[in-house]
Amino acid sequence: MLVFLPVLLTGSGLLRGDDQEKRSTPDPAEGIWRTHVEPLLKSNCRKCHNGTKKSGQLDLSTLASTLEGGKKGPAIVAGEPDRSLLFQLVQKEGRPHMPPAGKQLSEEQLAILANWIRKMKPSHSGERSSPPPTPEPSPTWLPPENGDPTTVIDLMIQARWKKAELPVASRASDDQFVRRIYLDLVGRIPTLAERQQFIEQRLSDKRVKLVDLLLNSEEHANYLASVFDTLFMGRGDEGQYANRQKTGWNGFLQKAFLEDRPWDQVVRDILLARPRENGQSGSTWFLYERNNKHQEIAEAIGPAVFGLRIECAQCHDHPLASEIEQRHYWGLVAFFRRGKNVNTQNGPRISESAIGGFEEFSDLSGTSHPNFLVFFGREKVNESRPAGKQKDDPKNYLAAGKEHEPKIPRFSRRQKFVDEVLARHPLVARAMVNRLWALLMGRGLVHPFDKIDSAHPPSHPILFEWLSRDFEAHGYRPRRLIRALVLSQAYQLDSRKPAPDSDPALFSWSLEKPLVAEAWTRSIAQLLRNQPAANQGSLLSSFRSNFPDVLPEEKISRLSQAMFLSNGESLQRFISESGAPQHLRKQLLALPDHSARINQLYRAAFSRQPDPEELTQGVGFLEQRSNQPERAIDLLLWAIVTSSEFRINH
Amino acid sequence: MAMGAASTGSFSGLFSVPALAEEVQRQNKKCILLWLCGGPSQFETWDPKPGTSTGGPYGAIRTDIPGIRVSSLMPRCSQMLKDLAIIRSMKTGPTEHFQAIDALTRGDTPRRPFTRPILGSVIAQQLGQLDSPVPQFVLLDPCPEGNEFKGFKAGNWAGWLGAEYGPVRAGGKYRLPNVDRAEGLSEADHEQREALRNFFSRKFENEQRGEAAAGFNAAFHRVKGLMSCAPLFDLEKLPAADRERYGPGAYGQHALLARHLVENGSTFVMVANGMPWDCHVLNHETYQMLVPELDNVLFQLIGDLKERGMLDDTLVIAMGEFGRTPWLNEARGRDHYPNAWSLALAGGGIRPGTVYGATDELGIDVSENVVDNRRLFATLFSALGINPHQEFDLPGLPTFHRVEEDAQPIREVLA
Repeated sequence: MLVFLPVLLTGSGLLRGDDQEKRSTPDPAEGIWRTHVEPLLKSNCRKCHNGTKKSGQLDLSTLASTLEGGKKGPAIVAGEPDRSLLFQLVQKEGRPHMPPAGKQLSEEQLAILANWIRKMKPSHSGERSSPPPTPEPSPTWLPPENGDPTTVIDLMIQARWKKAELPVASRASDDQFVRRIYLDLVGRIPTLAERQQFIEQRLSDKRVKLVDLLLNSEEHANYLASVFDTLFMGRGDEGQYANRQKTGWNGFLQKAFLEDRPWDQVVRDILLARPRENGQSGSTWFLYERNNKHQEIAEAIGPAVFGLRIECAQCHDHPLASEIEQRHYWGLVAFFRRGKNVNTQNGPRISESAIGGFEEFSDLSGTSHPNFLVFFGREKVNESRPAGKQKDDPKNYLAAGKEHEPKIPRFSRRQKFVDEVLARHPLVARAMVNRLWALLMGRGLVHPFDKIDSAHPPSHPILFEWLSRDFEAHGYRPRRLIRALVLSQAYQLDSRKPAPDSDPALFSWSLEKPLVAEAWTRSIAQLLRNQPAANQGSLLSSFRSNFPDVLPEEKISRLSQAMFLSNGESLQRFISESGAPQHLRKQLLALPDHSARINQLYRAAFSRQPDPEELTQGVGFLEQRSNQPERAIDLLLWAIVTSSEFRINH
Repeated sequence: MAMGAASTGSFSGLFSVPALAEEVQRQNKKCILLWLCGGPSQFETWDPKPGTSTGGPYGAIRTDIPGIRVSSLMPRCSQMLKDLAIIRSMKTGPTEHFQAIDALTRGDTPRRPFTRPILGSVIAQQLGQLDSPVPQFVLLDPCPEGNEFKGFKAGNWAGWLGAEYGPVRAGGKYRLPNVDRAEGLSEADHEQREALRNFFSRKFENEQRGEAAAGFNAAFHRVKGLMSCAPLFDLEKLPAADRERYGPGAYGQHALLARHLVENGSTFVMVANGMPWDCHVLNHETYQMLVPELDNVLFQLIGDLKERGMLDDTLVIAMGEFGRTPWLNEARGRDHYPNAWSLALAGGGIRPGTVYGATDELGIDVSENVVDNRRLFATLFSALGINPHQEFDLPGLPTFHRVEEDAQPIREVLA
């Protein structure tokens, strides 16, 4: 069970059995040694570097023996990971590389080691520490500040290909591109007419033209809004989806993307939750749906707005990314702690009290700390803490504003948050850049896309930084960024993996993107009924609950999902009820022969011609069922829409 | 990866005599895990401290083992202790559900970059008949909710073994969802359209070399098998008298179903029901209902397995992810407590009538024979004839072992 009140944590029963003496400022490096470094060395290094074997005369079994070093000298230079032999040798390019035999510590493990060494006081070793070194080597080439983003992406991505000396996929054909771009930008496959029109065009910039056409469409805004709804709110039950529609939340997101509103403003509206005009009313729903659960609100804001997962910092500083501290977690909670759901004549609102919300949280050693208004990357917001119990007073609030709106405190924590924490926070741009990159390229520059912390370094640090700056400098406009991404060379590569051991972080082929439930059902409806919106109701809701993921960390399929597709009622019924004259079944039956049917179906579903083998199989299947042509088509359509080629954007 | 893992994972001396003996020993072994999610209180179950400041209002009663007492909430099990092995000296690390569930179902805390498979996946892979249509690893859990357990369920259970060793999940109305062919679809149609789907997909998968495509396609390969054994999951088909004995609650009914499944070819069944044991509020009142149900369910299950001659081959585990605090919080609940807690084992490979380990007078700490999650898992694997110390050297992964640190199984608990 979540402990909702920080005050409860302080008295948490577990700590009573332990000694509660306050230790004199514990050495953070020693704590990390015990909790993270020792287990890491134990499992990765101690097979050889133990007390008896002492390979290279290095014994990594205790803190003392580790600091002693080995034949080659000290293993650790306190405060300086880059000068520490132990850290150097476990790098990808370490020579001799440790651990041997092709093993490589993960980025996360490297981060643990670096963080530990950095925190170590000089007294731990004979050497004096100098100021922390800049972590990144200086690049050989820096992109110009006002460059064209697509060009910059291409150059930076190519530089890494060159360095890795691995094969790169060829450019995607028009067939592949047209299907991919429709799925990514409008969440459905193209119609036969749209596909044909694109393929037949002879213009050299036809891809650019298509991208601009799609980006400016309402369909694009609506699809993107549905993706961001899932990312921001999570999946819900049908009642929740109805509320998100009714209260204007969906409309708020759709309008934001349709008008290409500056993203920092959109986020500000969501977190301040005080709609200025009626059209913005839905902006309150991000907070409101979380029903006064302030920890839940903070844990949602972390990934949605800053690209950070902060749950880990509830009980202690983040174990892997120690820059995310426990006080940041409770600080973020505190900013929203005074909010309360109210129903007004203008709709759902979040009122804010001028008093209360002063609590303490307790760290693992049992020491209590006040929950100051502070969040990662920003100075503390000053607020006087009352000594005793506070009494509320109308004078604490601004004179009434708009009619029926909740009164606003003179000192508003939410206002402070958007003004002093959110405004120009560098992670706002980074989070959006990384998320859009992940959506369109199949993997974030930081992976997973919502863990932009020191334990998850970006695959292309300079590019990531440059794109984030560019996004800020051009008014946080999502459309410019999306356009730059989909016009890049990497986006337009063929989807066949060029070599078995190709690294997805190099983006040297177009990565698999399993369709989200919305895009899959819209595509099914497009294919079968020539009408992507014809999926409201049970088809969409059953796909949402069986395929809830958007940007999952691991792309896993379950047996229960295959069972659903094979036997679930909703898909079966949707197929069998697609029998109107304008629907695909009838249109296929009107064609002269089976091979024309298979050809047409392949073009419509997969945006390509079937190869001879596929044609033979498909025609054979229909021939066997010549006495039941409608049923034959339905079975075939099922096999198409549940195939991996249909299910995955590639 | 899973294929490579399976071959690397086989015993090195397969043709030596001890290995053959081991194989024989492993035949027909099964396991039922009664997962008491949320963390049951040791005081109200296996390690009562009556009359002390920590013991709570319930007394302790005599058992069929002289000198050993259990909570008065467990009258039935008290007369069956000779069939069980109780460990009273569990001492583990994580204090929060998610991390503790992780450690106590996988046997260890996370060690990136690989994900350790859950107990059921390991046992299904090691002991199961993977070509059998009957699912080898079943999770019966009627409650889709359950706070952190809900989050945990959404994770990667099979870990590095690969998704095919993940559980088949059932529950709710005691039936598997989506097992029936749609009306009007003949068996031949169902099979032939699947063959066509597989043909289309396989081609794509091979050309793309895509892992997501391969995983998606692989999930369909088990559909037919699972459909064929759907009746196994139908509780209605079991004798009413049996259903009555296990009691009206979902947990009891699912325990019965677990028995039925292992009788019919499943290798590992995990029975859960959300996170009911997490009583931060009104511990005693809640346990008054929870513990007698567990008492009966365990009693019926062990009795049934014994009667059917299956107990010697079926390991039964009843445990949660930690215990509860000796003291009460302000809401008269007991909070999470990994420092000293209890669990029960029975059946295959376990020495019956054992009580191992002890806690101090107030149950605050373990006073003898500490058992952590590694020793526990070494014991469970050993009981089933699975080498707990097997070393894995897989490409791209650090060297690791089925159970790390050479943790020794508890000899006193093993038959």
